[in-house]
Amino acid sequence: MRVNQDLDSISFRAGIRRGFWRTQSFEFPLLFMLVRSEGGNGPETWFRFRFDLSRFPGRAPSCQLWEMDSDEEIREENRPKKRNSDGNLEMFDPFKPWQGSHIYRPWEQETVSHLDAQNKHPHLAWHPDRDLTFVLEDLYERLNRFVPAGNV
Amino acid sequence: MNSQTTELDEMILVEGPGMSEVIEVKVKTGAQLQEIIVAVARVGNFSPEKAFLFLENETKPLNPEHILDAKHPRHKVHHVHTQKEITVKIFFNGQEHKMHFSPATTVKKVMGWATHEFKISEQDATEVYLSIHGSSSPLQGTAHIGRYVAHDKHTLELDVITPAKVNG
Repeated sequence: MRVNQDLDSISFRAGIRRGFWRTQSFEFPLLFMLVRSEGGNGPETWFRFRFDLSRFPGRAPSCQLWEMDSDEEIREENRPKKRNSDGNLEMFDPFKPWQGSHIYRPWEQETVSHLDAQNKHPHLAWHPDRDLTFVLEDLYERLNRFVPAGNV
Repeated sequence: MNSQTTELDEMILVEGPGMSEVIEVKVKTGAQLQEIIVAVARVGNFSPEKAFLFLENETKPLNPEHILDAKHPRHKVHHVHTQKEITVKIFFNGQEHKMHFSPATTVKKVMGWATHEFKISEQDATEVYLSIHGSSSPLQGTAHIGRYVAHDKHTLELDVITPAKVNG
């Protein structure tokens, strides 16, 4: 199965060894992953992502932010946030509420058609040659591009 | 160190010139770090004799005679390259800046330097990426720049690309 190949790839395992992400559970088609936000000057925080990989990789992965300790979509107060130039906390664009708790990125199943991703964001759009490491690196990059404040 | 431990194989994550992704090389615990250099040189088809071994984002090469012992940061990605420094030239908006980096420097770190040099605001930097000069394919933020520099070269030319922002 292609998902198993991705989970066993060197680049995926390298992400685990580097502390970027962890696999929490996998029972096809559901994969739960934890991705680390380094937290800048604050504490590091892990965020939980629920992937639905039905018909993967022909179909883009569905990816939602999920509560850490319960089986439900993430609550507003637990979404990833960053500190803006005024010192106030605001949500990261990819993690604002969208179709429930789906991630707003061009590789995500719900987002891909809304964004016209293949034309407007080809470097981030999904295609079957991409793998789960591509997705996780993008999530890790988004969570750590700014100095995030973690959970409030 | 007991004899049993020295017989254990360690999988070390390494990058090097010409590699498309990180690889694992098998080295015995208690071996000299030189063995990592030799393994990567074999894959990259270059001589190990004048190659350097770095830890990610470090500028000073490791001593190849040191032993892979319990204290060694084996979770870090290593880098083997024949160059101790890479001259990076970056182009953006008709301007260019140049700086020397270790081949083990991540693309993300170089990107941070570039956004500062070109005064790209934090907001604008949300989607920018680096590509090989003349190409538009993004380089992975976690990749080491030495990947993109052949073992017999020492310069890397990059572009800052500013694609459309991803927002609703």
